[in-house]
Amino acid sequence: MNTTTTTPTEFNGVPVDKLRGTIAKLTDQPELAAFAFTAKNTWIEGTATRSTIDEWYGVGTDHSHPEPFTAEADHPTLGHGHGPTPHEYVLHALAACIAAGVATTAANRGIELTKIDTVARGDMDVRGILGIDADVRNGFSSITVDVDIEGDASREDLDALIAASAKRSAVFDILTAPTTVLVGPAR
Amino acid sequence: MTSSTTSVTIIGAGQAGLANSRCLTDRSIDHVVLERGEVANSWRTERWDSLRLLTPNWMSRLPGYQYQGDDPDGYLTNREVVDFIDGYRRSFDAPVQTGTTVESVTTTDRGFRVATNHGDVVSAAVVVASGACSTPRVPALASEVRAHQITPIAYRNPGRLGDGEVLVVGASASGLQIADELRRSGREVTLAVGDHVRLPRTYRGMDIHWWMSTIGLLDERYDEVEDITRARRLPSLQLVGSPERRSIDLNTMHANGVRLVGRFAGINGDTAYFSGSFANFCRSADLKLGRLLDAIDEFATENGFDHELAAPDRPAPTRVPVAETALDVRRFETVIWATGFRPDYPWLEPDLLDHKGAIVHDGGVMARPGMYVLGLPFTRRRKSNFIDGVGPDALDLSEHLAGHLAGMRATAR
Amino acid sequence: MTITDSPVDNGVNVDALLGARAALTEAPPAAAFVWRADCQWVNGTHSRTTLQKFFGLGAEQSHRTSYVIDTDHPEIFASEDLGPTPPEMVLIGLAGCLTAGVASVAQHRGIQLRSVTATVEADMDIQGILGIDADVRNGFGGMKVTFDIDANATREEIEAVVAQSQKRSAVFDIVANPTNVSVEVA
Repeated sequence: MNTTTTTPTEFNGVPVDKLRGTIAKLTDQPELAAFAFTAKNTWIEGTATRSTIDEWYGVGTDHSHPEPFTAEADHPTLGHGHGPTPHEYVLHALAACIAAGVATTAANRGIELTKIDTVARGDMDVRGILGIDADVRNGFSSITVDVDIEGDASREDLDALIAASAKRSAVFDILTAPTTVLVGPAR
Repeated sequence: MTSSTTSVTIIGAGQAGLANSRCLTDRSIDHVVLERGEVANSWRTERWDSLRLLTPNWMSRLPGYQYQGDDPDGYLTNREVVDFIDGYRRSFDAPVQTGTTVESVTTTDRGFRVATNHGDVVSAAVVVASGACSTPRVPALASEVRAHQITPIAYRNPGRLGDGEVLVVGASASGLQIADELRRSGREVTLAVGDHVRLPRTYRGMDIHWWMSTIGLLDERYDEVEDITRARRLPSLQLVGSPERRSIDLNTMHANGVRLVGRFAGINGDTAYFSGSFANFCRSADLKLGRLLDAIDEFATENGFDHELAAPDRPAPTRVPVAETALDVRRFETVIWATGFRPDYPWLEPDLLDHKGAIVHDGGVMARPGMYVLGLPFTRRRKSNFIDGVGPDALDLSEHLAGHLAGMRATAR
Repeated sequence: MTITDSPVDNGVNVDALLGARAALTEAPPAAAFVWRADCQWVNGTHSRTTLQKFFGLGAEQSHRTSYVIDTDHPEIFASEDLGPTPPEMVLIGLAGCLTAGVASVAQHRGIQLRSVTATVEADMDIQGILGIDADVRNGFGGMKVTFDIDANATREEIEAVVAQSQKRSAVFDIVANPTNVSVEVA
């Protein structure tokens, strides 16, 4: 997977030098750090919807993903089986974010990995969303993420990657701290 | 320890207990009213200095008694409410035993035994009229807050607090009134806003309570609403009783320099988290207000007096400021939890209560024959916990109670 | 609200919803669900998640099929853009949740929907995740959802449906309020 050289520039598939280059550039020009993401969603039927991820903004300009990505969401029993639930996408986001962070942090530390298996579990008392009990929150009451890492470093060094990843994780922060959400009709 | 016997024991000598006592007196049913403090105890000991009733004086009416003063459109102060209720008690010489704390109510084979600090009372029926505002509901995260903390029951006036910044949690009537008063005293005030009900004090020249009464909203019955559980938990209306008949809402708070944030959602170390759902609660409150004012305008038109009223003066939409979601909790010297009340009945048998400790009842008729509850939000009517709502409920339940007693006498023969 | 005789049908299985409400009111422990995402790292910042199993109603459950989703990061992050980023997945979650709620609430209120689209936008100052500025949070600065709804209802009625959808939305709550997350060694 990686070519070993005297000064490795890529670990775990993460081109570390390139990443450091981006960091340096943005340190000099913080205004380029302002990013914006967009998803466009269309209702299909019942509780089923389809989202498209395509355009995003960052480093002072608009971009597109190489191909638009579409994802369908639905609900078990109440829906028509079009896709996983919206909140499962959130768990996926968290797991993937942690995993990406582990890979990147490991790369920064010169650790080569062979495995990162991440399982995110979210507890939810559905009486909240069903409106049965007003004291029960709608979302997850708690989330646990179990990370299984293997690679060329001590057990201690591998496990330390987990906390480091969470510390820098966007989705971990989105979930653990509140975010302002404004919802309105189209003008 | 003494033991006495009577037909009915009423627990609580506030407006609810006394209204019930009057109804039983009118029916010549012997009874006693047990009161842990003095008559109108909570109005004497659990209200802040500047508080006035939210309802105009003409709505101060109890069975056989009503406001007789010269300011029917004004709002009674605490002192005046105490005098009003005291006067009521004296007007029919209600059989009140003050300084009497109820320790337990147990079911016996012929009725109930009410154990108190002055002996037992044995009766065929019991009416729980201890009110809905005894035990404040304070969120669990309060235990992680280091500031000086109080609830509205303990708040009296700005002078009794330190000069530092205050966090008022809850945009209810109490929360807004206290935040407003503290801000006027010159303190920095932050108000955490969750679910709330917005109302103007007047609309088209008439008091909003007059409107709600006139269109029949306050008389809505508990068995007529789609979700009675939700209706009983509605936050208190954002109103104040003031001679100027001013309105209070988040816009007036913001204009006075109160910092608005979302619901107090959590603490992590020194960081207090406020919910990002703030805008949704504001919009929901505005939509609900709009529906009420639409209903009022429709009523005025359908009943032919629309042209006599001032033009519709709709309140401006709530201006939702950009609100912080994380603040250092150490900046607050005082935290006031205006987060409502919770049911608290350690003296009732557990099978009378639901899994949240609230009394199980059907329009005030409790699960145990011969037991009744009065004065809780929407007990029988939307106005059940207002001063003029307790009377009609007391009349209804006294009739039911009289029937119960007659039935017992019949089976005793 | 509807002026036709045909009943409102937004495709929401209302009977199942009411049945679930009734059953879970009687038996609260059955309401305890555990949702799950199994993610396998592929390479770089590219990983692949399987969504299939979950626990609820007192037993292990399964979606009728297994869903596999890839995520990655764009090239600016020195990645290969083989899938959307994890934060973009959160946008999908919010959009899907709110719109599903709009359909359910509308059906409950007798409003027939014809079309619903939502655009979700979120800003992020990446100085946070790149460790450049410790005062910048890692996640979103804020999120904005813009709905475009065609239905046989007044503007206020539609706004009220949208407002109520937020009140009942799992993902709205997850994003707007804090949640305990523990990340551990497996």
